[in-house]
Amino acid sequence: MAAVGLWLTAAIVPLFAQHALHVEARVGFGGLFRAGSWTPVSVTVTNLGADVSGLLSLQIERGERLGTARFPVVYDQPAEIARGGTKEYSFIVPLDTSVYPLTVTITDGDRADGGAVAHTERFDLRGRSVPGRLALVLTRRPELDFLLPLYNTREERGLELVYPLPEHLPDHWHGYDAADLVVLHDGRLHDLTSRQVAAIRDWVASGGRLVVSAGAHFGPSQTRTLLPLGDFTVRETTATTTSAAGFGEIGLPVAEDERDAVVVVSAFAEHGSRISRLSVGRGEVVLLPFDYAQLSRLAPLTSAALWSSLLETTPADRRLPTEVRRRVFETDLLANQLALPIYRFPSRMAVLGLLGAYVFGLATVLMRAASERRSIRRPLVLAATAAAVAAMIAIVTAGGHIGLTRHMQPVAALALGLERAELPETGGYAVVTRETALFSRRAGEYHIGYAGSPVVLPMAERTHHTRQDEQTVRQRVTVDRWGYENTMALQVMPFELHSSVRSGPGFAEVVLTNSTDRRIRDIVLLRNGHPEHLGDLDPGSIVEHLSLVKPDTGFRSINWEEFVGDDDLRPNRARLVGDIARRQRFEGSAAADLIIVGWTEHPLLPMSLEPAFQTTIDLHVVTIPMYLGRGE
Amino acid sequence: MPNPLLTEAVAVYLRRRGYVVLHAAVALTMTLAAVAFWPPHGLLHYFRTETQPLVLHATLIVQVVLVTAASLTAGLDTIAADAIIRHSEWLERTALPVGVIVRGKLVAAVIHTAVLTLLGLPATVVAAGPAGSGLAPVFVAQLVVFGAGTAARTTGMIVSHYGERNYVVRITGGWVFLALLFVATIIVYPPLNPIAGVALAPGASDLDPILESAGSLLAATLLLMIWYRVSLARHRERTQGEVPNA
Repeated sequence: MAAVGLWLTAAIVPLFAQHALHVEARVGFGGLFRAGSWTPVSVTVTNLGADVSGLLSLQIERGERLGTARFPVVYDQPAEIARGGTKEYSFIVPLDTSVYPLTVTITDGDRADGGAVAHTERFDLRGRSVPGRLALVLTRRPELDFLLPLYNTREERGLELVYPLPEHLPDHWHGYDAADLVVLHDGRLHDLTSRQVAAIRDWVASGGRLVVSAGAHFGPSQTRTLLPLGDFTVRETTATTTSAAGFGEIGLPVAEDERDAVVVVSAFAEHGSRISRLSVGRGEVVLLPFDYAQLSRLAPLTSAALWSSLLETTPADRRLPTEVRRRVFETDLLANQLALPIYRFPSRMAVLGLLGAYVFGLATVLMRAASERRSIRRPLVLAATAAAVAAMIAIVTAGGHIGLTRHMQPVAALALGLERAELPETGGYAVVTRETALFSRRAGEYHIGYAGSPVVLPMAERTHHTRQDEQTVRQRVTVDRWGYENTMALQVMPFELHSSVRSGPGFAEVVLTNSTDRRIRDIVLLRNGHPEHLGDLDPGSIVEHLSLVKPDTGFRSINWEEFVGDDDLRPNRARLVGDIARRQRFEGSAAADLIIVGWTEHPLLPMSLEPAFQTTIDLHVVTIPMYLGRGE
Repeated sequence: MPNPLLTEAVAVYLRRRGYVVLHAAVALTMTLAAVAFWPPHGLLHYFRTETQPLVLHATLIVQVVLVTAASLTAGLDTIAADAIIRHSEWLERTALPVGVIVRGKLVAAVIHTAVLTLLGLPATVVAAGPAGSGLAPVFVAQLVVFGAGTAARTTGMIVSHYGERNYVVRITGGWVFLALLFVATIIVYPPLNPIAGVALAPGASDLDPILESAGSLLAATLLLMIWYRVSLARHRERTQGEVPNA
């Protein structure tokens, strides 16, 4: 018996020791995502076998735009799953394409040596990419579906409506990157966590549009949940006609035979009982005091026009041309950091001249060889020889050009971050936009490793003081962002600079406090394009500077290299400071009266990046515009 | 002892004005192609629009079409026709073995096609700069051009044999070959299409597809050369009976 028992134990225990993992992945919203957007991915693992202690890896792949190579990017999370347990792991990843599948791998064992692969599964993304608009609607009833036939045809899909469960919404703002519109209706809003509401608020402030549809269902519970977005306390619930619901105030007509339709509206304590648009950062909250489902039944034409305006326009700030200029400017800066030969190609005429010399030399040699009389004059032979030499030079130059662009680039990848803080007059948020681009040039490809998105930060501290002849604004911006899991490239270190400007006629007093643990080198103050060197700023130290108005000296005579440190990057830095100053001078806006450019001693970005960018990042640029207050 | 046909070929290629014009025209056309398709914008334009300068694509495609057409024309014996006619008469009268003639003709064809290919190389190397392409894909693409050129040259020589008996073949044979090479291969076997082959070169990080294209074309050329050997033997059988040995 004992022997049989031992045999059974020996036979059965290994069966239990084997891994039996069941993995499900939820990609995007309702399985849909937009290529090129940050996308929430949730992986649910059920363990029916032995305990697993290791890593859960989510691998996405990016393809070269012009080549055939594929770059895997892996996101890891520690995975501890006991036998019989189910766990969910959330990621927000930049999905570039639906061509390549997602791969989930679970490893078991010591992380130091990689562990053993317990489970691998691929999830096909084909057919899940949204080509048109994507709206997320938090509701119990899918009553916006009447829009689908208006936007979608058999050949083309212009709108996708997703009705997600509250618990499936991401709790980081960039997880909503793919959404064009978020609608809060009568879904279980109280199930939203404070992190989810904060994420929606930050997404709106970065330029998104949120529609809140009130009505008979909207009560204190909803008001409490949405408090971070604004005070939506309902004073009373009444009935009114469609024509009195405020469509005219947002520029929308009401159909003639629908003017007298009666809808139930919530009268808000702050916003009344008419449609309101509330600015939050660069985006807006559209407050509909009525139940949109009721409106669509009573006034279908007016309802369709309303949703059309909400879906097909973007919040006004997003359309500002200044944004476009800023992008171009940054791209120019980026290019300026690269070797000039690839920034400007040789001129067409130069190419014609050089290759033409080659053809001339060749033709002359061939003619001479063909000539039986050998009567070509000596000068012509000399000219042909010179042309042949020129052609050789051209070819060697071209070869060198290729060599330079392919191999002599100081680094194959280069990161440049540019920060701008914009303080809207209405206040409430400092919108800090940060564009970080990792630039790599492989073969014939110009590869952007990552281009950043706007980031929204609440103001930690802001005070205003107004005196008779001077205005002061204090601001503190804490930069700690790009989320928690963007290990691909953007785990930016916390970075704090406190700045204070006191200005009056003819002077500006600047106080800078470095609260980081990094030294800021070669700080240059640019005031209307004029540079002043403030020197280095050690961690925890303060620099005070009194800037007096200077005569408008010749801009072109400025030697920018005097204002930057003496190292290998000096020419690039000088060019960058000059570019910023030129742009400031060109725009001449009071809002950008003062700019400080500094250089961190060490890069803020991590040195270990995705495989395509495993090269040293040698330059990081931080610009912190400081604004003069407008008084109160 | 040098092959008498090679000696004759060198004389034809170097001494005849028609061939001088052909070689100069190939180099000139390649130059004009590189200049015409030279990127009109700086790097930033392509960077922002997420496109790539087309100069290398265009230059390589022009080169492959040009070299193929020139090789076909040379294979059909329509350049320096007076010398070729005398050469053909000599060929019909000579008692040289078929193997010697085949070796001489094919070696001359290979060398001449290589020269034609090399004439366009500087323009493609210059064009590789703005395209940001490495030299390796450009050089491998030259193998594709060379393979297409030798195939066209050999086909031209075969067509000229059959064309002596059939005027329709002589007039249309070259066009049919070009149609097969540039159009039909896309459907039948894409690696045999030289345009598709060279179009892979700009920005290529993997050389294998281009090498496959070059290998396919060179293998096809080898088959055509065997066909040429057979057709020349039949030509000798036909002509030796009419003309007494010298």
